[in-house]
Amino acid sequence: MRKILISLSLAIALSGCGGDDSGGGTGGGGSENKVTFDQIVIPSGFNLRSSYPVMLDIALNSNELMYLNVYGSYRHTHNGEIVADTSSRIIAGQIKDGQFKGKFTATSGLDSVLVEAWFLDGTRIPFRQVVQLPQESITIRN
Amino acid sequence: MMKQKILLIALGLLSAPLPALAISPFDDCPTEAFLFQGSPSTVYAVDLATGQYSEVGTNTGAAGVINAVGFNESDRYIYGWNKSAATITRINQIYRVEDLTVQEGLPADKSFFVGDVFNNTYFLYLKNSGMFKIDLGQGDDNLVAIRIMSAADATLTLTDFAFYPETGELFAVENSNNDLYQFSFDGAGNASFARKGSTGLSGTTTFGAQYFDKSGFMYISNNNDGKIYRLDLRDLNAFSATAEFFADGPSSGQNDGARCASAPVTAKNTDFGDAPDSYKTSLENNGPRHFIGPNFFFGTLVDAEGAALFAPSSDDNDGSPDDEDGITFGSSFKQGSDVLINVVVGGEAVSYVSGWFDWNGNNTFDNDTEQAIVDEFLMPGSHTLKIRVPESAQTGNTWARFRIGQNSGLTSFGGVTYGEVEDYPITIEEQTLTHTYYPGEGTWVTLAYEDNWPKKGDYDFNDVVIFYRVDTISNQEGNIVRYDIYGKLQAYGASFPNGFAVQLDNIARSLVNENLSKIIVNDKTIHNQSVIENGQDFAVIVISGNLKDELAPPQCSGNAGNFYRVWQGCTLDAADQFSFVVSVPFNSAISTGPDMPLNPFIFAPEGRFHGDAFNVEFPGRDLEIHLKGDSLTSLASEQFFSTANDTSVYDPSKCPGPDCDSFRGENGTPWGLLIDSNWSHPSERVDVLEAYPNLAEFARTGGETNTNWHQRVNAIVNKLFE
Repeated sequence: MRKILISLSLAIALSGCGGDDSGGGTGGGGSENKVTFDQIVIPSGFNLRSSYPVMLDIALNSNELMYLNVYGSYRHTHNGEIVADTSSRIIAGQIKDGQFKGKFTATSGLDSVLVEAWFLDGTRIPFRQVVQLPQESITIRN
Repeated sequence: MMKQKILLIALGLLSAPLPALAISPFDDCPTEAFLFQGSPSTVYAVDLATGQYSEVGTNTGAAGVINAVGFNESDRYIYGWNKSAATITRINQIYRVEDLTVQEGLPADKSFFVGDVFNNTYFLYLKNSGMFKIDLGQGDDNLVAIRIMSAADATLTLTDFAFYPETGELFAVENSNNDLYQFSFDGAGNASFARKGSTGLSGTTTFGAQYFDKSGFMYISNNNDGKIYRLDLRDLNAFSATAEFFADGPSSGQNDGARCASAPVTAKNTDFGDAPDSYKTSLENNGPRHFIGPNFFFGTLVDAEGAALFAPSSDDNDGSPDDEDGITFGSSFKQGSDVLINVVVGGEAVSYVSGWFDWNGNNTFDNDTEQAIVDEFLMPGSHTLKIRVPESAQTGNTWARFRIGQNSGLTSFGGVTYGEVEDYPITIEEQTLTHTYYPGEGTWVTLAYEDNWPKKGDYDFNDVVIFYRVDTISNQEGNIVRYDIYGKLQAYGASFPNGFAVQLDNIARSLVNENLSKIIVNDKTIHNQSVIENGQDFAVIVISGNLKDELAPPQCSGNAGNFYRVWQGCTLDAADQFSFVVSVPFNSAISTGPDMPLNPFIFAPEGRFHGDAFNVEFPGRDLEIHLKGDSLTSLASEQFFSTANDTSVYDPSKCPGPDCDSFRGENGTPWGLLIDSNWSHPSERVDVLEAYPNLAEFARTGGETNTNWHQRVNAIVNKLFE
């Protein structure tokens, strides 16, 4: 342990003298007792990414033109209605003859998505379904 | 001898009677308005239609200001108040004064600057002094003023007022509140006023010149900026007090105006638009119009019309010269896509160009939502502009309007000296699009880089920090027609310069519609910047050649230098100095595209120092720093892999691909992070593990745990920049 500390201190000193670094040399901010990021052994092949693709297959029993919204964030009102957070919309597009196939990329923080299909006349309650994540594909039927 | 002769001749000239013209009234009821500006006053004739003005009198004979001017239609003289002589004065057709004496009735030691004439009677007003009228028919030797409003009642802050033609109604726009007031006169002739409504104008104003025209439009000219506004008072039983911008006129600190109210406002040497009059094309509807000058026109032709000839009877369709020759469209108008607008600036002057499109097909131009080209400052010659057709645009036939002028701030209506308006019919085609946002329509992921590669960094991951979002736009068949990539630079904690770009892996450069690719920086389209990098196999979008150039020099400093938004506690450097949207459309829709986040990377600009890890002084474009496992572009060099602290074994045959080994440090450490949220980056020289301890387990377990390591709730807040 002592050897590691000595070599680490040396590295800091060398970096400080060199002056050729841009955003900083090695181990600049860490104290001797703390593990620095480059000391963490990352498993082979892991690129530190946690977003993943999700296939979406929708087939609704409708011949009408509908509008699809998929949201990553929403809330429940006091009377039980679901209200989407519009900034979290992941997919926006038409559903023709009830069919939609697509792919989106889910981030690690997504626990679920809200799938909405709106009738264009605006007079009927839209089709709504909450789908839990993570999963690689979502199939929706009614 | 000779001198004496000259003197005699001169005396003879002086004693000779002036030509009849000099002492004559105006020949008729002039259509121009007259402005008296400055001290001593210079007289300008103003074409109200366009704001074009010319100097008509420079020597009135008055030593100082002439104010309170009004045109007397009974004798066709202008009357005003000669301040230095402290009396009323009569101004003839060569703009020379003839002072008159008011025998009694005016308060002593007061100077008037509000006045007008109606029915051979001169009306004067002064706040806190009252209103007075003088019957000009009494004869010059018998002029007497009669008070018609008490000093206590004269509370309005006015700098002019104007009589309505024929009826004798008197109106004024007040300077302190910009409201319209109407004066009434009782049977005894005493005056009172009532507020009629708000003009809708705001700010500090001095409406030193107010006039009417024959139709009943009122014009008010603001001294400060010369802007002329119009109020529609044609129907006195039902009118709105709202004022609308009408023309740009001359500005002045001292300003008073007179006009023969019975004259119509007419257009001379004026260019009008051609769209149907619902778009405001005619003079009556305050259509766009320009006094034609030597510069500031589109193409090669601009024609003058006495009145607007608009569709379906525009002069472009009747055999007259078609002067709509400066705009062509390089692509079709499709819902949700960009359009190429080719603009030819004629003449020899740098000009401002603006454009409006009736997207919603309601036969008007909405200046708030339908101006797609805003004050582009263009050199003479040909230019290509790119605009986006809204997805909600109404399909079918509609109109577009383009204006060019010497000043910015043109609207789709109103008169301006020098310039041209060209109107074009356009057709909007239907296009159904699907948007797939990563991570969400209004949310961000974060890209964070260490720029010391292939040497170790300090792992504060704030050398370059960018909020990042991708909108994948597909057609009805599910094929990708375009990517829109959004970003905002959050931090620049580095001394090395770095560019920022995105490669579309496995998408050939030739598939991209380069002409229609565009970048918007800080909400402004950079029309002349190509974003698709030359010499690449795959499409590479260069968003910035050097991010440091996008920022004002950072004021915040620490022991490593002046960096942008990384030194904790320093807020001198404004956020959001560099935001962008880059659009990358394809010539034909592609069936599939690369996974998110595409392949974003930073790179070294040519000829700039980027550390001593290289076998050349400046690595230049050879040096790219990508996320771990991502592919280089074809312009980068592989020679830096497995040097310094990089341990990856780069195999081009596996890149791009799931087995691509790149930008991997000794323990698998990356030089770039893709973070699934709008991340608060660590302060300068703070190891990312100090700020986000849970990252250690996330990394160590291969992402099995602590996927939310980056959330603020898991941060050591005092280790962050914020």
